[in-house]
Amino acid sequence: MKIYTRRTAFLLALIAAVASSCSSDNEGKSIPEHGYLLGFRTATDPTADYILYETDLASGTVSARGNGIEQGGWSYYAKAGDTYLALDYDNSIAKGYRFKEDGLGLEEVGEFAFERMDCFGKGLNGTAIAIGAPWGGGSYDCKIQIVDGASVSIANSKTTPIYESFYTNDEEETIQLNAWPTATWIKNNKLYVSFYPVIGPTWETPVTDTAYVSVYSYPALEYETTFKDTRTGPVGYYSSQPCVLEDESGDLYTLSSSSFAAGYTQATKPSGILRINSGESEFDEAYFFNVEEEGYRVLGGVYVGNGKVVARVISVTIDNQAPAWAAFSVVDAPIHNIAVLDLEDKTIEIVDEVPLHGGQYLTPFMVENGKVWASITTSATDAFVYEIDPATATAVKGARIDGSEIQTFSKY
Amino acid sequence: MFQLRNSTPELRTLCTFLLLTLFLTATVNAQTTASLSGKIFDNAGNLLPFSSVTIDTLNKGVVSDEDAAYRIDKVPAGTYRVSAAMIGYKKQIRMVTLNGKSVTLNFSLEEDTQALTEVTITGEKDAVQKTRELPFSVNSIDVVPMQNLNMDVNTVLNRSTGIRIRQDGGLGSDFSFSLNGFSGNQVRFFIDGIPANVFGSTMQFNNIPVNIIERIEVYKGVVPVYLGADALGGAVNIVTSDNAKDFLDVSYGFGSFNTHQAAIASRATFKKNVVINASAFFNYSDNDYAVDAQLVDKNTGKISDPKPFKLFNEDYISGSVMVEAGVVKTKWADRFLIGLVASENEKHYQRGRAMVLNPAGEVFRTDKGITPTLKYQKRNLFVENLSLNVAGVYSQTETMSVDTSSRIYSWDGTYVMREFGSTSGELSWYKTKFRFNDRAAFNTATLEYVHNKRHTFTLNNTYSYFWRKGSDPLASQYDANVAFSDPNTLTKNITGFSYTLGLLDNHWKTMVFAKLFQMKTSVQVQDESEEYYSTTDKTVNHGVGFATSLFVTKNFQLKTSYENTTRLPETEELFGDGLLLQPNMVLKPERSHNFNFDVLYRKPFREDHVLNAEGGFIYRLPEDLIRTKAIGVMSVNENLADTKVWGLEGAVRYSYKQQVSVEVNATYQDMRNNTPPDYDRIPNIPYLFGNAIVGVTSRELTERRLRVGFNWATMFVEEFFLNWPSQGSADTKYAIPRQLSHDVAVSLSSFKGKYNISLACWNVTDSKLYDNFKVQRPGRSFNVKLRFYIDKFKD
Repeated sequence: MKIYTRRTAFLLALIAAVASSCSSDNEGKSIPEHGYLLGFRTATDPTADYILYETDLASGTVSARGNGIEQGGWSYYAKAGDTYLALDYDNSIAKGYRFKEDGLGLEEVGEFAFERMDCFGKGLNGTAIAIGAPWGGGSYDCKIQIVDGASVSIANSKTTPIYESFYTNDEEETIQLNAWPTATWIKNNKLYVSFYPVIGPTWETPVTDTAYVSVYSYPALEYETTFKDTRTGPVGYYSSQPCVLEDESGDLYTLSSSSFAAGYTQATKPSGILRINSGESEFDEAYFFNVEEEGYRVLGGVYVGNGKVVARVISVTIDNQAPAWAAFSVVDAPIHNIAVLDLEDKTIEIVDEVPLHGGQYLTPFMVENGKVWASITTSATDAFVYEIDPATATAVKGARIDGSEIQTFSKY
Repeated sequence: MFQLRNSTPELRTLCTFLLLTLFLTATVNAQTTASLSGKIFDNAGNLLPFSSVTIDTLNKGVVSDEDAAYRIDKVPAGTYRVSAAMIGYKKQIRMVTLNGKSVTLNFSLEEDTQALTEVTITGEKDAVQKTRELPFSVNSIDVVPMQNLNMDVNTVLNRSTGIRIRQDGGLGSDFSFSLNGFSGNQVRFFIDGIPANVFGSTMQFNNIPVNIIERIEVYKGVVPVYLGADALGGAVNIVTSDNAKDFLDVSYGFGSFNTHQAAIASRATFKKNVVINASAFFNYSDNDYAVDAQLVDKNTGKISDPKPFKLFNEDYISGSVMVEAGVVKTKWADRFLIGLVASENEKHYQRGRAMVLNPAGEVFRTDKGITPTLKYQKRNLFVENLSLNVAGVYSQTETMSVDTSSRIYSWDGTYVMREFGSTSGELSWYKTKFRFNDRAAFNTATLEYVHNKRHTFTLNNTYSYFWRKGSDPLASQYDANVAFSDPNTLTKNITGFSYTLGLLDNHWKTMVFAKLFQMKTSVQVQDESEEYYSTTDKTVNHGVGFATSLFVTKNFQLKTSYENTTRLPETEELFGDGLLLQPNMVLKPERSHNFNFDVLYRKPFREDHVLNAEGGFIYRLPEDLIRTKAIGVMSVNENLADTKVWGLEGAVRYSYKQQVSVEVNATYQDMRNNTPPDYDRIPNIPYLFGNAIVGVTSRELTERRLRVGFNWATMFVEEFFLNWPSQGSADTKYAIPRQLSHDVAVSLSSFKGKYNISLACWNVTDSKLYDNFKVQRPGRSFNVKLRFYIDKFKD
């Protein structure tokens, strides 16, 4: 009897040990009350996307190992009010997440289907703007969609070409160009869309000598006008890179890349930055920052304060040799630098601590305490979060990314 | 009946004695002699291999071979009493007079329904059992008992240890087989030793009527050299029946989802052993079964809760005609057949390889092909025990994939026109009307020499050449670079040599082998800026290995094998299918160390009860494992650099006569990416699955020899993840849920199978079953099959 009991006790202990070791494997990280929400992409083959909670980006490792909300496919992220949107590009389904009542973790609050959403901007009253464009051509219309965060659905939409233009090629054929949206924002009851002209099916850019912004009424979404500037090329490039930055006074700075790596098949104007003064519907003729003169082309960036911008740039020498779309290769083309741009002094300073690294879709930067967090991938096995200080143009290597990149940073 | 236990050793002694006598007689006899030979059949004309034939007065006896043929040489002139016996049949005695001239004497044994008792002789083996004894990890499925049960080949295979068949949808869908955890093209399929894929896509396994199949050999791990295969995981060889001289087999099945399957198979034998085989298959299905899907509000994008919707664009039609003529059993050839296969196929696709919110309503694919074939077999070529087996196949196939619609469909069948991005197809990124022409040549030759029944030397060479040229009038509008605009070719040459040694009366068999794999690709590859350029690549790989099997006792057998081998990519893996499987022109051959260990146990007890148990262990280290990766609704094959696999499988089977059988089997496979720290299980492949099968067949009832059969099968597949398991928290991960389903079939046959009718219900409980990437399979369905079969064996 005694033996029997002892044996039973041993068996129970064993089961308990096994069970506890199993559960500790499966148990994800506990969800912190405050921290960062990250859109994380693994380095597995194929990659997979997860939404992670993190408290520390300055050290340690950011990992989806046993942790994070799995996404249905390759995802973009946007925010509509307090609703986080994960837009699964493979399946064209957007999921909405909000923090639970107790603040501990997100809960899925709805989903909607979309045909295309290529360019994102902040909307009013808890909405996001998402513009869909004809990938691969076939038509010239885009679809401006207002996504409502509360109901997780498309509240309003407008089909419009954004801008109609034509191009006559060497064979004297007239080709209609698509206007591919690159950034969108709302100011003073107007909705603005910057774009670049492209031949739909071939992605060629035969017209690169003008920066454009189209203006719509808001909320009616009626087309009003398109304003232009010929000192530099079109604003932004494919995949809603952060290319229109707002400063403390509400002035907007637009980044024109003129970059081959970013998908331009020609560049006829220097890469540079124009200004749209607060509330205006035109470029400020008094302002132009010729970035290319400094030996670099500017791709995307974030405004930090005091006229300082942290940007991802590519040297003119490298860019001139880069294959098309190299700026989207996270792992295989480490060709980018991080730079601090001074909008007033029109200077550029390369941040030496950040190595040459790959580019991203929808390049994410996050400003915190006057510094900028960025996801820097240098090879298949090396990806880190860097904290960039624009005041000194230096950076500190932070947490290791146990994956290929971070697709979005958000503080909560 | 009551003396069974005692009689067994006696009979064994008797057999040994008979064989010994035969041996002695053969060596001392010098007078005028003749040989007596023939075949043993049952009443219905089926061959009865391994029957014993004895010349009673001479005490001379032999056991008929696997083709049921026997031959007793050097019989002195005289009149003899010759008897033929087989367990379960009434012994037959016939008188024969020999006067120096050889005589053919066939026996037709009547089934002993009274007393299928006695004698479970150790020497009693059927072809199925014999295959099990090869020094491979092999599982031979005797399909004869299943022929009246309206089963298709896949269903039969699904019920064998270690085999799992996954199907994307209903009739006509792609199949993916996994054998002991190896899947897709790691497992090769053969029909009479010729790879099934060379006959064209219509010649799917499932289209072969079970009626003309004798047995299915399933090799796990090491594959015999004569199959010429570079399969890593194993091979399945369907052996068709050669028994009947003339036969006609007509079957027609119809069932749920407007599914019709008709098949005719026939053979006619003329003078001088001229044979004509003719067969035709026709399959049609609407495949309009219901799947759970969601509707989308066109304005808000809001997604409804899932509801069942009938599929409306998954119909499938295929037809195939095969004619083959030649001679059999002549001096210069046991089999010489020249044939022609013509086939045509059309399949519609509502879904890709993943579930989508907007199904495709107009996508389809057609192919038609013509395939001349040649088969030559000769045993005792020039010298005794030297056999040659040659097969040559050439095929020309024209395939077209069409995805040109600008409609956006909903699951309820309604559609709207695409507002923008009208260059996109429903499933493809760009609209496509891709046509391609394939030409393929394949030949295989095997030379085998058996010396002293103990030494077997086998040499095989398999050569294949594949050529594809394609054009796409739509895609070329957007892109001057269309895949396959210049011909792409793949050449493969595999040479194998093996030596098999049988010791201890062939109770211990060992095979060693060496293989040489050569591959040459001449393909167009895209560079970084997506321009195509031509490149030629040659690879040479070697493989060696051994396999050994030993009967420790008469009931207990051990098998083990090791090989270091290579699997060359299949044409489709490299070149894609033109629609859902994208090409990967730089796919590398897969190399692997494979180790198998199996234990087989067979215990007859209490008269007619038999207990079989099998257990297997596998361990493998594949390098550059070729794996199918999902890309949205598409997929592509890729190499996984370093993987590790171990697995266990087990099966227990109990049977009583041919009337009752119960089997339970289970397989666990641990297939992992061999990289730290996760050693992640490879996702989207089932890793734990099992089956349970109960079959009951009545003995013959009434004058009309009526038999009633009942079959129950349960399938279980454990839940598995869509993406790498280590990433993300378990409760949020996408998974293919645990699946449990049951199939039931009832059959009725009369006059020894001349008339058959069977009724089947698949997925009785209407449970939700999924396959690749959560693609839902049919719910409960019914099927009725009628079959008429006549044959003639004698001249």
